[in-house]
Amino acid sequence: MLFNSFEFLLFFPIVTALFYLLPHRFRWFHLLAASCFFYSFFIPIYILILFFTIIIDYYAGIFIEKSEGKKKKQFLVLSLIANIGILMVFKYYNFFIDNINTAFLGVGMHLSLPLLKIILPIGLSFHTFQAMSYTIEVYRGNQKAEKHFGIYALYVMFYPQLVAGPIERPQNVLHQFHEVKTYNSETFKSGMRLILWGLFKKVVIGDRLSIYVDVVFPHPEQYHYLNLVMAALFFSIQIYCDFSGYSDIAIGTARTMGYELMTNFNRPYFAKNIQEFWSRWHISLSTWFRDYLYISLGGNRVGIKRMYVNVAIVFVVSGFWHGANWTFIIWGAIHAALIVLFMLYKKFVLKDKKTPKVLSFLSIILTFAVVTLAWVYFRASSITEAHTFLQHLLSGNTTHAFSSYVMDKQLGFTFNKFSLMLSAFFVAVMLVVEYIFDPNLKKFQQYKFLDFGFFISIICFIILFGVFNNKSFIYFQF
Amino acid sequence: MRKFGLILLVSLLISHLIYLFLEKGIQQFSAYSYPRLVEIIEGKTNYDMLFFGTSRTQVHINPRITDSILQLNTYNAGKAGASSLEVRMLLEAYLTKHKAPKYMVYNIDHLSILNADKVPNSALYLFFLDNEAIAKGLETTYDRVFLMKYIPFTRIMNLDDYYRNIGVQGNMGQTEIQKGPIYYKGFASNDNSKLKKIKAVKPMEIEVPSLVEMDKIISICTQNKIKLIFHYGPILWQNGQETSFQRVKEIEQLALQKNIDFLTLDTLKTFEQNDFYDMVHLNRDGTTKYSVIFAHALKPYLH
Repeated sequence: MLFNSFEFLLFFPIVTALFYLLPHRFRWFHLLAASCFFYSFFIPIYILILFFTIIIDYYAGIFIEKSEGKKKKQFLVLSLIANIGILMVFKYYNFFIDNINTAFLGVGMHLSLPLLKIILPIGLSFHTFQAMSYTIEVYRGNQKAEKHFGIYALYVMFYPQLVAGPIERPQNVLHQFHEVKTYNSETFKSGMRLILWGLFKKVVIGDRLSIYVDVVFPHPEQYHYLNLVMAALFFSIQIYCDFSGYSDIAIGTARTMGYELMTNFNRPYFAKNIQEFWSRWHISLSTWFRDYLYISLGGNRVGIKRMYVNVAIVFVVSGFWHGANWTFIIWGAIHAALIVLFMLYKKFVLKDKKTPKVLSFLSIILTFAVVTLAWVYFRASSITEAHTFLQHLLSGNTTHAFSSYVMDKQLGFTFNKFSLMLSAFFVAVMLVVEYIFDPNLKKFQQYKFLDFGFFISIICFIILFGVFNNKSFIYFQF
Repeated sequence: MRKFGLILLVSLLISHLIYLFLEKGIQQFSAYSYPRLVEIIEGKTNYDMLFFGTSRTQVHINPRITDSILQLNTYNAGKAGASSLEVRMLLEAYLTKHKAPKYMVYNIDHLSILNADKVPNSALYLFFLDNEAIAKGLETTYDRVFLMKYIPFTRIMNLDDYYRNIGVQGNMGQTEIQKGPIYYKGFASNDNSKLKKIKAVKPMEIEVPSLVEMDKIISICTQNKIKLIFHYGPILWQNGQETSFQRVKEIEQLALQKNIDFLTLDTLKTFEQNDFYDMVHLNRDGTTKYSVIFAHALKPYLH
């Protein structure tokens, strides 16, 4: 079920109302059933994959806690193999086989290893990573094994963050499912505010810009270079609005029931450098890789060269986490190179000097420009497409006339000058609101009169200017 | 909770008012397209003959000429991109408020036999959901038509920025009406520009769902004693290009199969490049010439 669907408009109030009407002891079951229902809107049979990992990880957690030494490690390894194994089969198998086949063809040998005809289960990378964080934390002794099977299943399946995060840690969420939640109007209002804000970013800005992006990106050779600049810029904004919009709705939905999920975005496009960008973008994934991969590789307790290698590994793996395609690996590698370069610059050039304010602003622009260019690899369906795009953009291709008008023939939706004006206006609204208020918009509570206007304006914007083309969230595919 | 109720109420009220403003603007801007839908769906005049089809009906047949030659009250109900599903929907919508016409001329071309599962360019129909035929027909294209019927502002959620834009423009006094074309009883010609570059015309394929719709149209006509005539409009004929002939033959065969009269006009060679606006549409002078030939050719088919 999509957050931007009519079904969710009915699902959300019913589930939330029932949650408060039910006594605490039934709530875990109610939320679990609702989560199964929510997930079954995609491909129902895939819920069995979730059940499989839930059962494995639930018992792995208990046995890890009970065991010592080698055995303890064996149970952890078993859990990791089950989770990564599922990821490998459903997400990466075809990628590896395809590359092996191509490599053999390159040396003149015809090897056609069979490919699997399967659709990637929605949100697979998210819930497997969340499940893995549970067994790792139990192994590290930071989290007690959850004895209540239903509560553990809910930890993995909690519908607001089931398909695209935030990738939670057990220390943050599990205990909340045991707590008795009572209705609090301020918390509820704060949750609603975030839901509407996320929906606004998704349907008013993200989906509007996606019309342009989806038409221009696959055929860069048919457009003026300024069209390509616009498409790259639009995708940068689209992906932020789409993913942070999703996260806002997820956090807001959980908050209406009194559950607090971790912040996933903190105004990333205001970052002054690439390192800061990564501390603000998809925080739950960045910290996951930091806590479970970077630290496991030795983190910064190793030599300086090794540390840079570790950083590079983390970013390349993070790229690969997004999708089984070379474009994501290159995207990760670009960020790895940028981070390492920045770390070197900070160490040898910047040292402890403070950046002047004028330069700070330029740094924000530069960081945004670099991130935007890297997104081209993320958005393109192949490396060739990305290279063609960048080649035509950077060479200033003027073979075709510039036009702000495009039409998505499949959807029958147009993007015209009016769309451009609307987009500019709404992006400005978003930037001002997110710059002034904290990422969770909690500061709104201090200004009651503003709050009333905020709710009304956002609802009207969504109804009147939302693009409702049943477009899924970009990160659902991961 | 009470405060949320108030917020929701105020928001919905504002949305509704802004929607009404945009709806008025869209209707005013569509000064040609909207009134003709009002005429077909809700109008009070009963016509003797209706012309249905795609833009090749809309821009080719001038009722001023057909009225005078045939001595009938005719109306051009052609619509750009109309699928056979849309033609059936329009015919049913017409019949709900009008006496059945004596004749229906259905200009068939490749768009009539493709895309039969949806109503393309259907935004303006959203203002006619009170008509059962329209509401039912649009269920193929939109989700939850009932919501749009009873909560009008939800219609805007199915429109793109083109309509939001013309909604604003219409309220500022702008319209789609241009100086070059002729507008009369549903007819809107092109202006008098002449075709400059000749392009190839794609061959057509008949898709099964469109034939199902075609059968429904035939059945509606039989039930209502409407004489149905198939027709094929002119396409710029090029030496060595068989596509145009192939199309005519295919439609003729279709008409034969369905036992429908097919108005065969030897128009392919009658019209020259100067008569055309583009490869498949005549320009203003071309349509005047064509409407005369068409009306005369139609005479023998009328009882």
